[in-house]
Amino acid sequence: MIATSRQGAVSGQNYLLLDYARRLAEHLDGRQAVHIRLSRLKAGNRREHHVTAAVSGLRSLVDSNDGQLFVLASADVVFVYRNAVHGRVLREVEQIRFLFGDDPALSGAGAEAFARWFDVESDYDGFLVAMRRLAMPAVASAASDDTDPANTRARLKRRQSQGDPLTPDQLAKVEASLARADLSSLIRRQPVCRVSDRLDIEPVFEEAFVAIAGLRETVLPGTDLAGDRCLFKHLTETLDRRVLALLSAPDQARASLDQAINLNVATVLSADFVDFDGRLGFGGANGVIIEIGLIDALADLSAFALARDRLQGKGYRVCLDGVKLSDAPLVEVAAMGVDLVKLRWEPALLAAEEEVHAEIRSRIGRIDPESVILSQVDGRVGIDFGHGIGIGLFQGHGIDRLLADDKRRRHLLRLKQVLRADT
Amino acid sequence: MPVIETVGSRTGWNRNGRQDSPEQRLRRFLDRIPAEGADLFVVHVQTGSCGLDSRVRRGLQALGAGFQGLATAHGARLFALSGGELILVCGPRVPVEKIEALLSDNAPEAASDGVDPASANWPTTWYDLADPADLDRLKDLAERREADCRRHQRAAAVPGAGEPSRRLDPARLAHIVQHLGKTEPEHIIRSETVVRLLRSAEPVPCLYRYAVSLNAISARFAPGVDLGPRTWLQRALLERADRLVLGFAERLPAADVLPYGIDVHLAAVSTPAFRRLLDAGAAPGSGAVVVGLPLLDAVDERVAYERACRWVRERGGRVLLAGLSPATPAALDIGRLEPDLVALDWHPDAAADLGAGARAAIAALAKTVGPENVILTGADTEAALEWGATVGIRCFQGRFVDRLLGVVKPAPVVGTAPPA
Repeated sequence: MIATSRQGAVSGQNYLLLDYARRLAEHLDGRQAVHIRLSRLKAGNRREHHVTAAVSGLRSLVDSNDGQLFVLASADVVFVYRNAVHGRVLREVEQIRFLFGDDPALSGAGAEAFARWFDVESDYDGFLVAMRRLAMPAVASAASDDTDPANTRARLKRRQSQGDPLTPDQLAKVEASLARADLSSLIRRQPVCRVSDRLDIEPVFEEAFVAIAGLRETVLPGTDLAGDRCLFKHLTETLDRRVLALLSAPDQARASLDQAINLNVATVLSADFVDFDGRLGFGGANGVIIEIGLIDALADLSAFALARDRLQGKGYRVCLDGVKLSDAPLVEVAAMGVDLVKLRWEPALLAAEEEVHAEIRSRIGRIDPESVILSQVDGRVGIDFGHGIGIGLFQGHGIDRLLADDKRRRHLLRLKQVLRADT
Repeated sequence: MPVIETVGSRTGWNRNGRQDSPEQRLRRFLDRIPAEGADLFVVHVQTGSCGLDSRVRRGLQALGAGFQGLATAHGARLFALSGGELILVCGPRVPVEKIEALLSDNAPEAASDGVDPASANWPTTWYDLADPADLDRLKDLAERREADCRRHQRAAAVPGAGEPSRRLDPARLAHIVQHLGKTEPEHIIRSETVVRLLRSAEPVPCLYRYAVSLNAISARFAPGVDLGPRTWLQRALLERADRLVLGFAERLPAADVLPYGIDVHLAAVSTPAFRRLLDAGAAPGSGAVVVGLPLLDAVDERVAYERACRWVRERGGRVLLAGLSPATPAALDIGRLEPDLVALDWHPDAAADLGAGARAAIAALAKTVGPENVILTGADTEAALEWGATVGIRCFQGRFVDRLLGVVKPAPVVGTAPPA
């Protein structure tokens, strides 16, 4: 089959290639691969329709389950296939050479290097290293763009797309306007689901949160509300109080699934939460999960411990949120005394060494698998990675789509049954 | 007619207009009972020895609901305290057998598991409030619980409706930040000396640390405003003071006597001022400049933190991880962040609450990082030194340490300029 990513972006293929290359270790028998360097072609020769045309012959091998095709962000193509179809692959590569025969990349010394062949079975390590090098630049640069505060380009991009960071003056104004604003239209819900290896999906609970992008457009367009971490955290404390007021309204309390809400430690210890708890009544807490961010918990562990004990004593479940998957070995989840932990999926981890994966797997193995959620999963690759390290609960846009597909299938099935009954 | 408390009541909070915590209401309730006692009895259900796993919590919920039914039927008052403690105050006619039955029926260990219900019952204490001694004991307990609750509420305070607001709010922060831009660093920066205690108890100075004084900021720009403790706005303020810290450090003489340390935030590491400072200040391998970075920054932006560490070390500096509480080493594997030094903020209450596991984690950290590289800050009393010694800490910083050094204190004392 063709490896496609639900992330939609071509770079998703880089992640998929890395993941596939790693999994291939267990299925090496009679495998070969070819790396076709379409990225060396002139820009005019490697437009999307050129690439599509070039790989169309290989796709037929994919359809017959004889190989797996990856079209990378750079336009390079990697095809991993069975020995049995080596002759056909050779012919397809020759076709591609012929197709771009007038390109400088296929004349002189460069012509030899246009296609690089791998005997995966006998040199798996060499193949893996080459695939890492091939796929990692995109992964690494995506990661560093996101995390390096010194990266001016990333900062500028963020500023242009999201506006200038919030200032104390603006925060004061936002807080004043929040006192009057109706936030009910900004509350979003996203399910946390159990997903099986066969992609059977079952919702477990639902998280309610405020859509920050929507809030920005409502109260302060052109400003990056999350641009200053401390001011944003303060703002979330204000939002917490408004959310509590909204969620304790009777119509919101009648949801069929258990509900999760993000709260700050300070909010849990405030009178507003006492009020919310009072409205829920004894036993009402049973179906509510309170998510507390790792950074918020670490900011004052003593207050966190008090909030956690108070919540658990009243029947709430406490979920530690905002733990990066790569930070799983750093956090002593058991010592935090929480019921659930939400780990944030990081696609860049696919490029990490096996030791890093083993460490994460070992740390998660020490926690009850039913208490670990992999969040921000946008595609199949995240689900597969989660399953690989023992996680069965997932949240993210990819899961939303999977759930929608599942609902649609069920609906069609019901419709079919109704139609059959009618006839 | 006794008033039923709010547990399980959707309208209950109308009766508690002030929305105080159950701890506060319990203390107030007991204060109204005359010292000679009253014809009431109290059942105090604790969960401490049971832990708070899901089965215990379910049992506790059922017990609470049962108590509430009892309160409705017989007139009683139920206080659900933090951490799952229940206190049921009953009049003389509330049947004890029913209470015992509820305790047994909802025991944390179910009888079906083969556990004798009697032995698996909730840990309870019964008080007869007609006995002044029992009343005193219960009042004492209520005061302790209320004090704990107040302490934590202060620590994690959010300005709520109707509270007198002399706390730091966004408008006040904006005002202070505006003035910070015009102030001289010397006006708001204070120094403390870190000492290493030898086996002979002799204090040996090993590092001068310079940090922004919130008291100095408050005195100059926001008299009467409480800038702490540990709110996000306070952190935002300190981030904005980094520029002054760097300006101050640039004017410090070369660190020829002792290394010096400054505390900044991760974002400051990428500024030209910081880079100038380290390029000028430290020789490779000298360790003369110690850069304190907050734990929260290190965890939140791990990649940037690691990059900053490399950058600082390449220029001969050392990285100190700041802002850890004594409970942090049990919650995080600090060794993975690979700091050169670690600063633990000591507080008598936080230290007293620590379990054996948390103390062992500190001792392990002291071994990993080196006992001379873990600093107990806030050592304002001798108790801090005594406590630190029990967990393998040898380096201390705080007012008590400064007093120990007395006249030999070599660190320059700055910040003596008159208020603006």
